[in-house]
This record gives sequence, C-alpha cells and structure tokens, in this order.
Amino acid sequence: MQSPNQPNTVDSPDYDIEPVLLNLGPQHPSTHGVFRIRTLLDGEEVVDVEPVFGYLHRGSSKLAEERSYTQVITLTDRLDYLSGMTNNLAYVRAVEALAGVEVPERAQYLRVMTAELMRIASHLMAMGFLINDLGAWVTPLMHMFREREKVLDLFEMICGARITFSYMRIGGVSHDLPPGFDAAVNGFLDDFEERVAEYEKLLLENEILVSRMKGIAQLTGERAIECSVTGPNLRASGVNFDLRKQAPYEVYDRMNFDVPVTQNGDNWDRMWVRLQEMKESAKMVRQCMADLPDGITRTEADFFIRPPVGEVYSAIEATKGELGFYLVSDGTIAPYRCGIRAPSFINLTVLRELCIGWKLADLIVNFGTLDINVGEVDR
Amino acid sequence: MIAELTREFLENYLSTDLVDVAMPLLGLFIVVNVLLGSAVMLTYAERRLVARMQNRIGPNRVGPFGLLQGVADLMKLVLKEDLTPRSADRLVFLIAPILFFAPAIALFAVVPFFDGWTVADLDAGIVYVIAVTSISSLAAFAAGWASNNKYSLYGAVRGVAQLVSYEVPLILAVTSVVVLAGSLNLQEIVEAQGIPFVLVQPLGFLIMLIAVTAELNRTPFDINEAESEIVAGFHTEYTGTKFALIYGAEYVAALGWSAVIVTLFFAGWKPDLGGVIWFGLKTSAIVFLFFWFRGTWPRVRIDQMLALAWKVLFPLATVNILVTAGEVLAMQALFSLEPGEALPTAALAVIAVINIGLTVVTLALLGRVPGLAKFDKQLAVPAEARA
Repeated sequence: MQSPNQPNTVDSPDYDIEPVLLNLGPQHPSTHGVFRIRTLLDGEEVVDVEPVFGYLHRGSSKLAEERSYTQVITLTDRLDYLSGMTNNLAYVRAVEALAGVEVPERAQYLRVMTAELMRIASHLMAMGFLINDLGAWVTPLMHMFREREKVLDLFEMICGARITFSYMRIGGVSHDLPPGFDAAVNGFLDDFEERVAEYEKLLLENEILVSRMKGIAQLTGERAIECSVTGPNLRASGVNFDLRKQAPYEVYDRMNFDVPVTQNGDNWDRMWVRLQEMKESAKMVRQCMADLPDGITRTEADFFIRPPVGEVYSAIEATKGELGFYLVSDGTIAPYRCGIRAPSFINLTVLRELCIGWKLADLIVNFGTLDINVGEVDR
Repeated sequence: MIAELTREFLENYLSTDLVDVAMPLLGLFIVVNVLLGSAVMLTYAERRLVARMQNRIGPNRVGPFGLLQGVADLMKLVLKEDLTPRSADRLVFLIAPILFFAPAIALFAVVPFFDGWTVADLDAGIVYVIAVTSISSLAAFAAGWASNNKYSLYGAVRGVAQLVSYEVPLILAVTSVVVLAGSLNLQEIVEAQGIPFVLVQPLGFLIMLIAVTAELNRTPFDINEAESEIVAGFHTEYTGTKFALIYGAEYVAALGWSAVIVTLFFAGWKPDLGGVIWFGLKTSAIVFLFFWFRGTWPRVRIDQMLALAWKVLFPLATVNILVTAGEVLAMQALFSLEPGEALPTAALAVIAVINIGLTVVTLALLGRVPGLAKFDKQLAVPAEARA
C-alpha cells in the first residue's frame, strides 16, 4: 500500500480506490494490430496507462546486418506497412548519403510523387480507423478504403506491388512510369479532391465527432518537443516543423505546398491536420506530374554496393513523422549497423500523459489520433 | 375474418371451451414464429443495407441475393460448441440470455397489429410495455456480471447507467401520448389518432426516438457493447446458442420498439389499407431508421450520453407533458367535452399546429443554450513557425 499522495501506477496501484486493471490487447478490436495497453481505470476514468509492445517484433535492424544494402530495401517495406514508399525512400536516401550516389532528377520527382501518394493513403487509413474507433461502425473506413485502393492501383501500375513496393532503389527508382499513368493519376486526383471535400463536409460538421474530439487530450507544443513527437501530431500542437520545409530533400524545395499547423494540439486538430495534409499532398502530386523532366530514372550502382567506412543518419518526413535511418558501414556489402528512428514508436511517448484523466472511450480515440503503426513500433 | 374462419374450423374438431383456450395460443404461436423469422431476416436486412451505405455489397452467397444468410448464421451458431468460462457464475450465465430474449418477445403481446388483432388486449398495455422491456437491463447486467470478465462488467455497468437514465424520458414521452389519447390501452391509443400523433407530438416523438435508440443499445448509444472500447460489452463471453439469443433479442427488441413507436405516433394500423401489411411497412420504416443511424453515426461518450438524458431530454419531456396537458384541458373546454372523452380531429389539428410551432422554436433555442451551442466550426489557421 502506498501513501495517498503518491500517484497510482500500473505497477503499484493504490487499492484504496479499487481501480480496475484492464488489459487492452494485444488482441483487441481497436489496438491497430497487436498492441497492448495496460490500463488502470477508476470507473470510466483512466488513472494510468502503460503501453506494452513487442508482439510484432521481427528484428528488422538485426536482419539488415545480414543482408546486402539493396536487399534491406525489402525489410523497410514491412516497417510501417501502410506507407512502404516513404520507408523505402528514407532508407535509400541514407545509403545514397553513405555511398555518395547521385540520383537523376526524374527519379527524384518520381520519389516525391510516390511518397506523397503514400501519404494520402496512410492518412486515409489513419482517419478511417480513428473514426472507426469513435464507434462509427466501419462506414467512414470503407469509404476511405475506396480511395486508398485507387492509390494502391496506381502503385501497382508503377511497380507491380500494392503493399510491399520496394520501388526505391539505391540511385533511383526501379521502374519508369508505365504508359497511361498520366491519365490514371489525374483521374484519381480529380476524384480525390471531390472526395476530400465530401469528407470535410461529413466529418468536420458532425456534432458527435466534434464533441468527442474537440479539446480532448491536449498536447502542448513544448511538451511535444520535449517528447520528440514529430509529424502531424507535432504540427497539431502548433509547432511548424516539417522536414520537407525545414530540411528539403529530393525536390521538395521546388514544390509549392503549405504545411497545415494548428494551435490546440487536441484530438480534433490531429485529425484536421491529416485531412489538410492530404490536400497538400494531392497538390504536390499534380505538380510532380506537370514538372516531371525527361531522362533516366536510375543511376547505375553496384547491386552489392560497398559504401566507404563511415556512418550516416538521414531522415525524411514520413507519413507518421520523422523517419530516420542510422547506417554504419564497415566497407562490406552489408551494413554494420542499421538503426531506425521510427516515428510511431517515439510518438508513443506521450500516450500516457494524453490519456490520464480522460475516459476509457477517450483513450481509444487518443491512441487513434496518435496514428501508431505497430509494424513500425516493434520493427 | 381469418380468426373467425380458424375458429369455425377448430370447432369442428374441438369443444368450445378448448377452442377458447386454443385460439390465443394459436395467435401466440403465429406471432412468435413470425417474430423469430423477422429477426433472422432483419440481421440479413441490416447487413445488406449497411453494406450499401458502406460502399460494399454485403452477404450475397447463401440463397438468392443471400437471403438465407441469416438462416445459415443461425445454424452455425446453434451448432457451435457452447462454452462457459470456468470462473463464470454458471446459473446466471445460462439464465441471462433467456431473460434478455423473453421480454423482447413478450412485448408483442399487447401490440395491436390490426383492428382487434392483439394477443392480449390489456387495458394497461403501455404500462406493460414499459415494465416488460425494463427487464432487459437486468438481463444485460446479469450477463455482464456472470461472465466474470472485465469487459463484460464494464458493459454491464454502462448498460445499467444508460437504461436507467433513458427509461425516464422514454416514460415521460409516452405519458404525453397517453394524456392526448386518454387511455393506456394501445388499441384505444391507435383509435384516438385522428391525426397521427407524430404531428401532434413532434417533440414527444423525437424524445421517444432518441430514448428508444438508447434502450436498444444502438448507435450512437451503443456504449454497453462498444466494440472499439470494450470488445462486445456484456456479451463478450457468449458463444453459440446463447449468443444467438442475445443477438436475436436485439433485433426482436428493435422490431418491438418500432412497433410501439408506430402504434403511439404513426396511428398504428390506421388508415386501413390492406390489413396488417400497412402496420408492417411502417414498422419496417422505423427499423430502417435504426439501421441508418448505425450505418452513419459515431458513438457518444458515456458522460455525454447521460448528460443528454438528464439535462436535455428529461426537462424537455417534462415541459412537453405540462404543455400537452394544458392543451388537452383547453380543448376539452373549447369543444365542451366530458373528461376522458376522446378528442375530435379538429382539436388534434389545433394542438398539432401549436406543438409543431413549439418544437421548431425549442429546437432552434436548444442550439443557443450554453454548453449545447453549436461547436465552433471555424477552422484553425496555419501558424507562424515556432521551432
């Protein structure tokens, strides 16, 4: 038994208030895969939260040490399986920085375009599952799946794969655009703009959604920075930090786009930022298709590339935040060390403080707005 | 007429006393079987309709258009192994689904399907409806408690809080109809509706609809079986036949409450167009409304839901009764009626005009009450860089 002024935690609950220790997950309808949250509840109110992960651990970092640099690309597909393109991009950029490989301009445009399409698909899933967690059965989710399917169809045209793309290669991309892609992507974008307007109308004006999300689980900008939160979660807290603007890579410096930032840092803002980012991404895809230069899509690099001895950290703005790869080369064909800064994992830092004091129903929503992908959390 | 023919047919074989006993039993047999069949078809209907709303096709494999999907599901559930958790309270665990299902069926005993078509024409019909349906909250709690599962317990506790809260505005909304009709007998309430009471009592209808949605645990008030939070709430541990009972009871109850709403607010079987079909169509329309809610709305949080019941619906329903009672008294004076005499259609029309006006004003004012005001929908603007 603890003294009353000590806070209750999962490990040492103060049984004066008879809290309920509830294990949410790993098999639970709204833990987005196999994620477990040990929750201490006082009635409906959340007293303490402890995220437990590792149920999807595949040892990607260790596996990378056993494979050649090119082969590791396939591992990155499986990190955040909802945004394989940005994972590919983050990794190949790290290898290119290590080995000093130039990337042709056309490939850079293709990389930006696919990354932004991926962002659309990933944010669609984030919002769909979020509203599913809010209890709207699966109607919004199914509608957002429809748009995501179209993005995946486009990816299938480009590289033949729908989830595990391995599209990016060291020194470029694996395939040039197929014939007819121009019309397909423009058709999708025209359709998508209508759909986003529809989503805005249906979601942003829904009284129940507003009352469930506005002002819930606020995260201040200072706290977000302290906890290294990145991505839409950070920008919803009023911090205008986006690697695409602050440290432009590929051809993002030529792109004409805004970074949506909101001030409240609550669940509503986190959803709103994602919705706006999809619109900006659509804008960028259009621009990429318009400006796409001719030329080769890949610099010839050795399949068994041997970067010089050294180390590099290279990060991009992935769909869920700053995705960084830390590579150490010992001059062989395989990385000596492949560290991954997974945004989902680091964004989880704030889960506990976001949930304490709110209701059990809010916990699920907070977890949803943080947009965690367990594949990336566990690696 | 069918009843008379059946009676004649039976009298050829049985004594008159036996026929007197047999006739209600026969009625009961027909009603219960039609209900069970409807519940099975409703599961199919909901899945198909909501699938359409969700941009899907829905079950279409079993039988023509997938019509036999409900039957297939039922067979699968009945044939399934019947599991009871080791730490469950076995007796209560067994009784709870039956206790959940029985009131849903029993509700139909007093529903007037057509002129004179009632299994039991009770004088206190509406009191019976409310008494019988509140048993289901006990059953839900029993199920949640007996399962000995934390999710179930949460579902049970939430369910009791919800059902107890929404019973109050529900009864008050029903009372305003009773005041208008001057009777507790459902058959007489139908006959009193020169104008469907939905026009005479629009506010009462809205309160009733919201309260019934909560009674039925349907979206947006499905918090006691909130899938994304507590898995399946009070019936998390149930499998096989017991689960089928609970699942079926929800559809039978939806049908039952829709029938009550139609009886109270949509003039039941009136006007007489093709017998019981007309009543069935109206009931289906209300059931569709519940499906529609489910296909489109997210869930409210428990505190918001209780606040809605106690802070909005309860005062509104109370005021509604007072206003209605005043109007009825005024009309009795105006048309010089004896107390208890049914109001003529003209009087109902006057009340309808007043009440529709009042409802519009109330709904408009509700949006301005602090705390209920329309939320600030102004979108945030991009900020200056801070990092």
